[in-house]
This record gives sequence, C-alpha cells and structure tokens, in this order.
Amino acid sequence: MRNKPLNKGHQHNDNQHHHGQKTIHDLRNGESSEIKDILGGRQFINKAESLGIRKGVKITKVSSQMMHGPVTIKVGQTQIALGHRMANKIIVE
Amino acid sequence: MKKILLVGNPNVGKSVVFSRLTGVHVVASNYSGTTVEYTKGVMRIGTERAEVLDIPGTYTLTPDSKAEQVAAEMINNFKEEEGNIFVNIIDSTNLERNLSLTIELIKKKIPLVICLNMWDEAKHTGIDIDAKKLEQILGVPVVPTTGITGEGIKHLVSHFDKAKLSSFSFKDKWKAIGEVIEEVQELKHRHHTFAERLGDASIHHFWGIPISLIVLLAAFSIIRFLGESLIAYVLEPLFNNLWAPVMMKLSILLGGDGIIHNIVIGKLVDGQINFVESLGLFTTGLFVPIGMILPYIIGFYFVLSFLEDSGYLPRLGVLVDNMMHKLGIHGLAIVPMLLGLGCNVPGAMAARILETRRERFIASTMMAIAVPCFAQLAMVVGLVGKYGALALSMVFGTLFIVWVLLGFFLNKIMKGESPEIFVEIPPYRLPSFRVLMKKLWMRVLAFIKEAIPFMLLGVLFMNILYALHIIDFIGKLTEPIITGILGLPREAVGALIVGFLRKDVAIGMLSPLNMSMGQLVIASVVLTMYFPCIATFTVLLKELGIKDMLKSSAIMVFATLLVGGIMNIFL
Repeated sequence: MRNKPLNKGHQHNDNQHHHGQKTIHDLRNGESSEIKDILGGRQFINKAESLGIRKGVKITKVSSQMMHGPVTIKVGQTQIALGHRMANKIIVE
Repeated sequence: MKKILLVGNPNVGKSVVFSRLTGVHVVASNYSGTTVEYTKGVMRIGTERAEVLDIPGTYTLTPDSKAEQVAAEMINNFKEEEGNIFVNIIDSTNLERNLSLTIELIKKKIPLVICLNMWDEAKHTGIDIDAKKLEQILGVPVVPTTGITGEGIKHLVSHFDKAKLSSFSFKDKWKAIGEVIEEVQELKHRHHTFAERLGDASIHHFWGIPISLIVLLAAFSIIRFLGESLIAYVLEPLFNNLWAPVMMKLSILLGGDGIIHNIVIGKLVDGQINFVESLGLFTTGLFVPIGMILPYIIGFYFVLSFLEDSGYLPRLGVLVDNMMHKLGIHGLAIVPMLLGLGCNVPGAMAARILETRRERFIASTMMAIAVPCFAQLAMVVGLVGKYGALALSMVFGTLFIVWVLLGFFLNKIMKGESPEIFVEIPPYRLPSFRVLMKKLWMRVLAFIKEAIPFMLLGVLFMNILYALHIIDFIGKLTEPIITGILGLPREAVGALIVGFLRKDVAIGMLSPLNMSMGQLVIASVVLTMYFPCIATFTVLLKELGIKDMLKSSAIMVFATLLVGGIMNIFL
C-alpha cells in the first residue's frame, strides 16, 4: 500500500513542538532565515539578546551535532553554539 | 591615582590591549570567558601614573556566569571619581553586538573612550567602519587599534584624557543600534576564506571528529617531542656533565655521609650521584623540577597556548558536549579539564566559566580527583614508564574511567539539571608568534617560581620526616589502609603526606621503595585521586565554599579507597 505523506511533507520529528512553527532545527545546514520569536524565560532571552539573537535578526544555520547535540548558527559576523533544546525555542520564518 | 577600567565582550582582545598598556603580561586567550579574575597594572600617561584594570569579558551588565559576575560587579562599583574612565574594547568584526554593552556603559555616566580593536581583521573580512562618524554619533572618542601588533595603541592612549560622557539617547535600544550600524558600517562581499571553511569543518558533526583526533595526536606528539628533545639534548647533558661532578666534589667535602650530606646531596647510589633516587636538596630537589618536569611543561603549555589562541577549544567543546552532558557538565567544561592537566590551580579557577553552582561543583571535583597536573604526569611517566606502555595506560586509563564514572555518578545524585552549552565560537585566528611566546614564558616562569621552592621544601620536609622516624611511626598506624586496602608498602605513606604539599615530589618519593609494577600503578592513581595539593586545595576552598569543599573532599577520599582497593584485588 502506498504510504500517504503526513502533514504536507513536513518532517515529523520531536522538534515540532510548536504547532507547525519552524525552529532552527528545521533549517538545513547553510540555510538562512529571520527570527520570528524567541520562547523561554527572561534569563534565556536576555542572554540570547546579548549575543545578538533577537526578533527580526537574520540567522544562518551552520551545523548540528548528532543525537541532539548542540547546533551552531551564525548571527551577523558571530558564530554561536547552543544546546538542542535551546535551539528549539528559536522560532524562524 | 586615576583608574582605567577595560570593559568589553569576551574574546575582543582586552587582555592583549591590557598587556600593551601596562607591560604586565596577562595570559590572554582567544576563547570566551577565560579571564576569570581581574588584573591590575600601572601605566604612564605623560608624567602621570594610572591604574589599569582588566576584567573578564561580559556581554551585558546582567551576569550569566561567575566570571561575568566579577565583571558586572566591578563595572557597577566603579566610582565616578576624578579621572576614572571606562575604555570600551570592541571587536570591530562584531560591531553591532558589541554596541549593546557600549550603550549600557553610556548609561553609567562615567567618561568613556571606545577602542575599535581587531581593526586589521575587520579590514581583511571586508568590514568597513567609519570611526569618525561613530565618534560624532556617540559623542565619545573612537580609536581603531590592532592589539596584537600594537598598531593604534599610542593613539588610543593619547585620547584617554579626552574621555567624555556621552549624551547619546534613544528609545528602542536595538533599533538605535541598528540605525548606528546603518550609518557607520559597510560590508563588502567576500568569499569564504580557508580559515572559515576549516572552522566550519572542525565543528561539523562528522568531519569534526577526525579533525579532533588529528589535533589530539599532533598535540601529544609535539609535547613528547619538545619534552624529550629538551631532556636529551639540553638538560641531561647539563646535569650529568656539569652538575654531577660538582655534586660529587661537594659529597666528598661533606664526608660521603651524615645528616648534612644526606640533606644536601642525599644518599649515594652505588657510590654515585643518582639524580632521581639520591633525594638530596641539590640533587633530586633540582633535577626533578628542572630536568624531568620542566621540559614537558614547556611542551604542554606551548601546545595549550596555541590551541587557546587559535580558537579551537570552543569547537572541541561543541563536539564533546553531548557526552559531557551525561556527566552533568556541558562541553565547555573541557576547558578547566585541559587547564587542570597543566596545573590544577588554573583548572579550578576556570570552572568560573560555567553558569551554575552544580556544574562548577561537578567539574571541579572531577578535575581535582581524576586530572593529574603535568608535573605529576611527567613524574609518573618517568617512574612507571620503564614498565612500558601497558603500565602507563593502566594508570591513565583508570583515571579516565574514574573521571567518567564520577561525573556520571555526581550527575545522577545531585539535584537539579545542568544548563546546555550556549557560547560564542570565535573565528580561527593564527596566533601571533610573539604573543604565543610571551604566554609560554609567563606560564613557564610561574611554574619555575612555584615548583622549585615547593620541590626543595618537599624534599627537605621528607628528609626530615625520615630522619626523625616519623614516617615509620605514621606508617605503622596507617598500615591497615596503606598495605591492607591499597597493597602498598607502608613507607608509601610518606609520599601521601608529602603529596599534600606537592604531588610531583610525592611520586618521586616512591622511587626508592622498590615497588612492583602493580604497586606503582596503584600508587600513581592513588596519589592523583586522594586529595588536592595545598595550592589547589586553597583555590577550591575559595571557589566552592566550605560546605561544598567538605563534600568534595569526602568524595575524593572515599573514591580513592574504593578504586585503590579494587585495583589491589586485580593487580
């Protein structure tokens, strides 16, 4: 029997927590996007901001590690590595 | 004396600028958050003197780690006295993000000078900044510099007395910064450089692994090569051909035996001076630190300084982060571990880059228990090495397994969770040879200044203990543990006592005891694990606090008995 595609071809993985919203994990290596929102507590948002990660900023995904390891992104001229769950909190276009 | 506070993000070259201003050589590193303590120096401006303070890098005035806390406190407590100024050091390749801290500094109402550092790198990466325009907009002096070459530093200093209070105002901080960037910065398109591609490859989930293995292999080879060459071509000839005859003459002068002879020269072995076994102040006391350990210290710090300044370490941290999380710490904790491999004191201090008390406790305890300092390591190689690679791998293999299991165990039983890694990855930079050599010299000098006096003290102390038969006495008391559980000759307790002072001397004390290979292996592991040397203990006490230090110490002793006992059964 032919497999019916789920959800219009979206990957179904446990990164999709936010009702179909895209996070960094949904970007391919080298792909860029604009940050739509940052979820999480004030401490996380403050630290993210201080590193240049805020709403409206363009980021490029550089790479990710195997087995839910950290993700590396580029913001402006800076490269930043952040944990898997943290990356999940950054919603992109 | 007026005070100058150097403020800026991590990794902008503050420490390099500081050493240019003051001539005080700070160990500057190229990855986020290594300066974990503030440093003071003095500089001359014309005929006046001014105090310069280098503080840890911070992204904002709301601190994230203990290192940032140090910085935030110093900034917030900086008094508005006559002549006191902030010098905001900015990474020109990251102007937008760096301006965030600048704006917070402006609010502090202390006269400000902006230093656009890494100017040459900005040029090379196609970033063009109109410094004059930035000066106009912000209302404070803006001076481009390149810290590692020294370009622009004199120009910077000449502007210190022109520091101003900025009247720059805005409603939305990031919108304002965005507008400033629009006006002063222009980005020229350029292709990915080789360094950038290498940087991406080193952190790649697949390619990063073989690259890290190559780096580790290269590191070990260079350390071995430098160490062995220095010993074979410089130090052994020096000691055997020049110093030994002098010592023999002194030995004859002192009558070949007796208390003074044995303290100064030690016991002759087969009628000759044996630099390792004689145990005299001027023989073993000098040969061990200078002829056995120093060569490897030089090799180790050469490699470590290069790895730090190139920017490789945070990438390594990302690669190992996954595994380290199972041990309760995130990938960057590899930094205190590597530093601890050189000396446990900077290793203990570097734990400040970790964000929570839980992580700092786990990382410090793991380091103090399972990471031998290089002096100790060199001694173990010297002593156990003659039994071959198998014996050495038993020692270091056991320590590594203890390190892993300990982290695993602490992670399971300690309440709370450790945060994930969240760190800036600097671009690859080829370290300036000059800065590298300066750094190496600083660290080697620190080792010489600390190791040799402590070594001599340790040898003296140990000789006294033996002469007064105290070792004998304590040995009889502790025999059930030392011989019963650990399987070592009871005289080995002497090494354990001296080990409180310095661990490398302690290992050296094992050599005349004629132990079997198994016993040497157990003794080496036990000496690493059982308790930190006094220098490390002092720092850990300060960093962890009394309660945590007691917990940590209890873990150390218990783990040592457990591991030593198990090894005794099998070896």
